[in-house]
Formats: sequence, structure tokens, C-alpha cells
Amino acid sequence: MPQHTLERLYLCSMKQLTLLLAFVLLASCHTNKGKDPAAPAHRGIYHWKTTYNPSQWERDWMKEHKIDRLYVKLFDVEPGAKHGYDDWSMVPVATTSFRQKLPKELDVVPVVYITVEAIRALEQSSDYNLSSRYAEMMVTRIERMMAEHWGGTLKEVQFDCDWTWNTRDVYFLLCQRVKSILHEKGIRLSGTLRLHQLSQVGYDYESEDDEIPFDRSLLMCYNTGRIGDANIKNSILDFNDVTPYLKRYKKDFLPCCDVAYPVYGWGVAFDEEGYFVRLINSHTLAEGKAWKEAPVRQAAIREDWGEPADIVKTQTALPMLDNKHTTILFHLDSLNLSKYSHEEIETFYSR
Amino acid sequence: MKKLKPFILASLLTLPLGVLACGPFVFTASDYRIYRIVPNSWSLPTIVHDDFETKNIILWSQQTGCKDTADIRRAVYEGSLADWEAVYRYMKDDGNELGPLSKNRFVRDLVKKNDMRAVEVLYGSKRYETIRNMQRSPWYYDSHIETDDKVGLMETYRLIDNGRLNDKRYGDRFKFLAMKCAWALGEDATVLLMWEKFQKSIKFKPIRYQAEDYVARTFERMGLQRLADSIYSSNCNYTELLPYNASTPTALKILLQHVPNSLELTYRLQKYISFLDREQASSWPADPETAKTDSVLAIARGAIVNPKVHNKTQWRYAAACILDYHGKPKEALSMLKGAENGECDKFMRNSVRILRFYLRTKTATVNDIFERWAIGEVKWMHDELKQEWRQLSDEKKDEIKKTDGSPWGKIVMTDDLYCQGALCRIVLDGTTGLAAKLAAAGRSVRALQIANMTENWIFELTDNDVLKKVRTTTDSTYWVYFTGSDGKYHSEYINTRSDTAMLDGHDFHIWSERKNWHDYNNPMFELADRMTASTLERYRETMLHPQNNIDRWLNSHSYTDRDYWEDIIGTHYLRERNYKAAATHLKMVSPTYQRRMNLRCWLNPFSIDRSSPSLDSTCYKLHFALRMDSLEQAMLHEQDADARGLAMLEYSIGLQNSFGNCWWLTSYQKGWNLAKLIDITETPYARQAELASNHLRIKAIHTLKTDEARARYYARIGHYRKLRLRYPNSETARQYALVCDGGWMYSKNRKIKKS
Repeated sequence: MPQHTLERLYLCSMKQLTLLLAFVLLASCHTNKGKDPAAPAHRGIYHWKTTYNPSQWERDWMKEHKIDRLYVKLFDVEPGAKHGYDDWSMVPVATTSFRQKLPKELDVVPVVYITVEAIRALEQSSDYNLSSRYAEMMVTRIERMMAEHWGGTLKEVQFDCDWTWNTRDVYFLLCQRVKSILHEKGIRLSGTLRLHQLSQVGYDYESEDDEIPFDRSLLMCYNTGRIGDANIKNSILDFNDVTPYLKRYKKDFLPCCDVAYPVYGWGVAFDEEGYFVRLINSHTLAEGKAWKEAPVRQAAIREDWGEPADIVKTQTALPMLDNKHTTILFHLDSLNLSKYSHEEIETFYSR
Repeated sequence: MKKLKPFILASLLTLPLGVLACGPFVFTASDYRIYRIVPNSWSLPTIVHDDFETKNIILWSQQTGCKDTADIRRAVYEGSLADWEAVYRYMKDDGNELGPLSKNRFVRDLVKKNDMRAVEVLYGSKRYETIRNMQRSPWYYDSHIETDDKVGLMETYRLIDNGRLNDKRYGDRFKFLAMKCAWALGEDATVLLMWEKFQKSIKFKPIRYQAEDYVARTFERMGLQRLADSIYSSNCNYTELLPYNASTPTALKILLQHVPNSLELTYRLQKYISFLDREQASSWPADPETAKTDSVLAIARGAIVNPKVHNKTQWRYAAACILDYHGKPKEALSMLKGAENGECDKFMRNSVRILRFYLRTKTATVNDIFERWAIGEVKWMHDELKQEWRQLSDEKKDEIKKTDGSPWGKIVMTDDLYCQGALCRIVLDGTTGLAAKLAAAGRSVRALQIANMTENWIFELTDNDVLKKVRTTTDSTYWVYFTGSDGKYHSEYINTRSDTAMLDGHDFHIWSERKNWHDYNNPMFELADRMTASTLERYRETMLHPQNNIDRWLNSHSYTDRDYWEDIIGTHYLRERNYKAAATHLKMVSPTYQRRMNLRCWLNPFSIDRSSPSLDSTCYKLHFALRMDSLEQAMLHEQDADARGLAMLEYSIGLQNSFGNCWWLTSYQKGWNLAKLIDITETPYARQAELASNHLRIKAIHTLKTDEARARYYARIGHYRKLRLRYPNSETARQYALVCDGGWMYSKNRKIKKS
């Protein structure tokens, strides 16, 4: 065989080998990203009750699972008109009362739930500076509450709102104002993002309005199905409901993302024709009172829970997690948490 | 397409000319306010809050020796915490500047006298006020930790030692400040103890009342609401009774419960009904506040049967206003029944009477009895208006005298003359006003009489200088806009007819510099504009020959200027194509008056060319009427068929122009904002005129017998091609070939577009 032919063969095989290696490398990267995401940097849990008074069991549970972040809802924000104030105003309601101090050893993140009606009320005002004034009042209130009940150094504040396409701009403006106040104090702002909201950001790449106004976003992987729909499998989390939403995700717009999974359940009551009757909380279900004093129309109850299998499948499918992300469970309640085994909880927190 | 070109051009040119009008602003009678339970000038601060404020200022004046009470008010009530901090630091010799209050005489006095105690009181009070404002917000979170605001307040509190509490001049103020600080710091027991100790030693009554309020707030915080409310009510402290930013129904409900006879309630009721009043005239979407009418109505109904409420009349009145706002004037009227019999003063009785007149006019069937009653009410309001005018200050009267009578000027003018506004609303409002109802019932002359008196007497009463001047002395002046020979757009100010020489051969439009905002832009004129010439003629007749005392009284308070009315009647006759009658009336319009009119007529109404100015602009309408009348006579009686046919053509051009290019012959306004006045081009008059004009043109060509006459016909309407092709040997064709090269060329060569 002539020398140049050998050289050609050698060069050819080297090229093929390089290509092969590159392909393997790419494929392995892809596999790692899709199926084996990095473990979370932090383990978190929500406290979503109006009284902060965790039981010994709940405190032990947090220690057992090495929880280092506690997300505590401080208050809701509702339209002022509901409480006798001006139509365009917003007021804090359902303020959490603290029977215990918040644990100093944990990183506590205060959460404010803003109703979409409150945003609509804010929208009614023609006063452009109103958002700034509310932002200041919110931050002051959060700081005072945290100073009173925690005393640690505040690093993050979280806003939760089921905003829609119509209310997005007003909500984002409010968040921008809050963020700039928080940044002056060295605090970051995070915000929840429901799956349906994924499709409502990232349209206009040039516009600042379209930018998510949070330093970190938190993807809420629950309440994926319509509660009143008798035909769905699980209103809390069904992997099949999640996948269509994830296709709409635009990575450029969600660079830093945490994720929350459901560890709670409820009963959904329907009448004989499959129409929604009421929602029954897990405590009533557990106490067997779901049929006691039930409305006459109530004919069937579907029990929905955050099923471990769906949570794991969702975790695997999520493409947006970095190695600094926090995995959070919703929410700190001994009755709900006791439904899950130690291993299941550890599995949730391992991704 | 060629045929269409002149029309397209004419249509385009009509657009800029269309704004040549008497005024683009439309003013409606519904812009006036009618709902009132307190005078326009009445406001709560002058009744309740000012009471303490004024007394406090007088006390400061006495304590410090400063005479400038305005500066005391500015410093004490408008100075911010930062302002007073600057003064405090300056006095403590911290090397700071005196700050924004450095020019305030009161502050300068304090500095000069080194009155540190006074500054301590004021700085401490401002500190307290700032914190209190924060605490009153629903966003405030009362924490037990020492926040900056609390630390600041503690400093103030600790500063008040026995020496200060027993200070001869400011002891009362320090005691009050100490109670306020203790209260804001949540020291309830201390507040009550202080009150026990201080209540007898606080000499200045207003301060004692204010201090007592803090005792009430303490009771409230301790859950002793009834004790608290009794103090709030007796001390008239409503801001403490109400939640922060309380909505109207919430506020009314709480106030009615605690202080059912307070001025605060009256104030809030007035504010609310005024709001509804404004909303009625507004074309904007309803404000969310108005959506609460049902709640307020229910509260009002409750108040009417509440034995604790003394002033039931104001509640009946407010309920009637809401029902009227709901479009239920009959129910509103029955709500007013017996309203004046309740406990109320003359002012309120008058308000009820006026509202009843307004509602009754809306609901009544017009007959002789109603008309007589309505005129009686108009006369009564007329007398009330005279009294209102007499009661105004000289300064206000002078201001009103100088308003220009423009729509916005009128609102300002009657802001202090409630009866004038209310009368306009009752008489002139849309289709439910008295004038419109009388007109609809066939009593048009009476409608015009009352409308004229309502609209115009105010100018006579107030001796309005501006309108008097434009009505008697000022000539209107005009700007003309045109494209010059250089192809550029020019604007020139023109005063005399000869100036129009510069327009010859140019496209132009004229903008009048309006002098008379009122006469052709008001609801009375609007009413007249919609009536027939004969009705107006009958009205003119009652001006000249009144039938009875009512006629005489109404005429004596109306605008009966001969020129004004004869011009309107003449114009209406032109509109109705009764040229003989038009000429009769237009002959009576003086040339001087025509020079003062906003409208100036420039175009030749017998020209098919829009750039051809009129030969006469002074008696323009009259000459047009006379010419049309003579053409009518020629069309009917001329023996020569050609002369008859050409008269028809001339008449048809004049007729078409009088509703088109020369619309000012038949109306007074065209262009934007024609919501109220007639746009003549949209009326049946214009449509019928167009049909008649077209018909006459066809009839004319068939009437003409000779080629020469037909040639003249085509030349007259600009059909030069037909003229050249059909009648090349006519004298007219030869003339055109000689004098109008362009026109002739055009018929030969289509590339040349214009003659």
C-alpha cells in the first residue's frame, strides 16, 4: 500500500475518531442535562399558614432532611376596596402571627402573596408613582416583620402572584420598584412562576418590560390541572400536564431558577354529573369528615396528592436547573408530610 | 375621470375651508352643576378643622409675638419634618443651615429670640406626625424592636422634663406632645395617667380637646370602643373615626352611626352628589365611585327614618339626587315631598325648590298651567340670582365682568352664581330642559324667549365688559392662508376687502380671529338654529310687539339686538330658499354689524371656481338673496327662452353653492365639533337643494333654444371641450379661444389639466 494511501487512511480515521469523540461528548452532555441534573445547592420548604407555630415533629423533620431554607409567607396583598379603602389601593391582609421565633440557623426567605385582583386595583390608578410608594411600604413592612420575628440577615424576598398576560406589566413594574429598593440593601428578589406563566414571558427580546424582574425565579410545579375538571387524573401534579408547558420555556429568560414540588393533597368533590362542588382540605380528609355535613350535591370525592412518581418524572424533565438552585417543597405541615416516606422526601431533595 | 377632477378638487378644498367657523368649542348646559346642599364656597376645612388651626395660630402668635399669621400657618402646618429638623439643628448650633424655612418670618423671629422651647415643640410635633402617618397606614407593622422612628420619638419623649411641662408659655404644648408620644409608643397606661394629671392644668381649650382625643384613641386600643367614640363624637374628630382612605359609603355609615348631625357628614354628602352631577355631564366611563350609588341611597333612606338625624332634608335631597342620577326623576320628585318641612334653613329650602323645578321640568307634561308655574319659578330664580350677585365681593364681580363669555369663561363666571348655572341646566339642558320641552310641545316662541333670557341676561346683570365690546365696537379680523406664486404656503393678516387682491388666482382659506365667542355658540342659539324661519320671525315679532307682561319681562332681559336676529332670520330664509323674505330681513342688518361677525364671506356664490372671491363681502347675504330672487323671477316670467334657461343655470349654481362651498349663506358653523349646531350639508335642506339644482341644470339645457346660449351654458359650467366640439363657431367659443388659452388648450390636449 503506498505511503500516501496510508497517510490518507490515518488522517481519515483520525478525523472520524475526532468526530466520534465530539459526538460522544455532546451526547453525554445532553444526557447529563436531561436525565441527571445537578443536586440542589439548598433544600427549602414553604410555611404557608397564618400562624407560625411549627410542631416538634415538623422541626425535627426539617433537621432530619437538612433543610437550610425556610420560605415563610408573611401576608397577602388584596385590593383595598374589599376592606373599605380606595378602589385603586392595595392592603396587606392575613398577616402571619408568630407564636415562635423563626429559626436563626436557617436562611429565612419572606414571601408575599399578591392577589391578581390587587394588581388590577393598582392598574386603576393613573398615578405612575404609586408602584414606587407601594414598593417602599412593602419592603418596610417585610423588614419590620423579619426584624421582629427573626433577626437574621435578610438575603432574599420572594413575591408570589398568579399574574396573567393582562396584569403582567403592572405586576412587573411593581416588582422592578421593589427590586431596586432591595438591591440598595443588598437583598435579592425572587418570584414564583407558574407553569402557565412560562409562555407569557420572553416574547420581545428587545424590550425591558418583557424581562422577568426577579433575580431568581421559582418554578412552581404544582396545581397543574383544573381543579373543577372531573376528567383529569390529578389536579395537583400530573406529569402529562407539565410537559406541554415546558416546551414553551425560553432559557434566555430564565437563567436562574429554583423549583418547588407539591407535598400536599386535597379532596375535590363533584356532583353526580361531574360538576365541581367544593375543595376539601387534607385535614378534613384525614379526619374522615369529608362526608359529614357535606353539601347535598356532593356525590364523589377525588383525592389529589403530589404523587412521588410524577414529582420524579417532572424533576427529570426540567431543563433549567443550575447547580445553585434550591429545591423547595410545599409545604410544612406534619399531616401532609407524614404521607411521604423518608426516602421519597430525600429523592425529591436529591435533584 | 376628467369630469370628476373639478369635483375632487372642490371637495379637497372644502376641507380647509370647513373650519371657517364661529367657534369649535361646544358647550352644553349639562356642564352646569345643580345638586347642592351647601354653598359652592363652603368647604369642610373652613368649618371644622380650620377652627383648631386658626385658634392654634392665634395662640402661637400670642406666645411668640409674631404678627404674621400667614407665615405661622405655613411654618406650623406646611413645614415638613426635614424643614423643622434643619431649624432645630441650626438653633443647636450644629453648623447647619436654617433650611427652607429661613425666609419665614415666624421662624426668623424664633431664631432671633433664640426661642428653643418653641422649636422643640414644633420639631417634636413634626416627628410625631410623621410617625403617626406611618402608623395610620394599613401597611404599618407594629414591631416591638427599636426602629429608627421609635428611637426618634423616644428622644422627643425623654426631652420633655418637668421644666418643659411647667413652662409658662409652652407648658400646654409640651403636655400635649408628651401624651402624643406616649400614645405612639404604645404606653396606654401612661397616656391615661398623664390625662389624669394634666387635664385640669391644660388651660388652652383647643389643646385640651385634642389631648382628649388621644385618651379616646387609648380607650379604643384597649378595646373600650364606646368610651372612645363618645369622645371622638363630642370633639368632632372624624379622621379618627374613619378607616384610612375610607370609601364614601363606609365613611357615611360610620359617621351616621356616631355623629349623625355633624358637618362632616354634610360635607361628604355634598362631595358625593357633586361627583354624581359631574358624572352626568361626562362622556368618560363611569368612575368606580359612582358605582356605589345603591349603597349611598340605602344609607340615605336609613338616615331619613333615623330619629337621631336632625337634618333629614339634606338626606332626602341627596337621595333625590341619586335617584335622578339613576334616571328616575319621578321617584326623585316624590323623595323630595315634604323635604322643606323638615328642619332646614332658607338656603336648603331654596335648594329643594330648585331641584324640584329641575325634576318637575324633566317629568311634566307641558300645558298652560305648567308653563305659568315654570315662568313663575324662572322669575323667582331670577330674583335669587340678583341677590347672589349683590352678595359677591367687588373683587369677584370685577373678575366676572372681565371674563370673555367663552364656554369655559361662562363656567367660571357662574361658579359663584349658583342660580345662573342651575337655571341654565333647567332651561337649556338637552332634550329634557324646559326650552326643549316647550319647543316640542309647539310653544317654540316661549321656548326661545326663556332660553334667550337664561342665556343672555347674565351678561347684562354682570355688566360684562368683554361681550359688550365685541358686540358693539370690535371688528373681526382674519388670517388668510394661501399658496403664493413661489409655491410656498403663506399666512397674512387681513383687515380690508382690498387686501384680498393678493388672493386672486391662488387657493386659499381664511381663519377668523374670533372676537365673539358667545353669540353663535351657546345652547340658546343652538335651539334657534334648529327652528324654522317663520318661528324665528314670530319670535322677532314678540320682541317688537309684546303681547303681555310675560313677553315684556322676558324681552327686557334678553338679547334682542336687531342685527343679530334679522341676520339669523334672513339666514334661515336662505336655508329655506325663500329669497324674497330673506332679503326683507337681511336688509335690516347693518354693514357695521356684518364686519363684527366671526364669519366673513369671501367666495363668489355664483362661481363654479372656488378661488374666485366675491365682489362684495359687506352685504354678501343680502346681495345673494336679491340675486336669487331676481333669478327666480326670470325663471318664471322671462319671455326669452334663452334668458330663462340661463337664469335657471345661474340659480342652480347659487343654490348648490349656498349649501356647499358658500355654506355660510345658510348656516353659522361647519367643521369640527359640530355635536350641537347644525351641519347644513347634512340636512334635508341641503339634499333637496342639490336635487333641485341638478334638476334645474338639466331643465336649463333643454330650455335653451340657440347655439349661442348653449355655448354660454357650457362655458359657464366649465365644460370647454363640449363648447369647442359642439359650438366652435359661437361667439362664446371665439371669445374663450382668445382670452383663455389654457381652457382651449385643455379641450385639445388633455395633458394640460387646468384652464
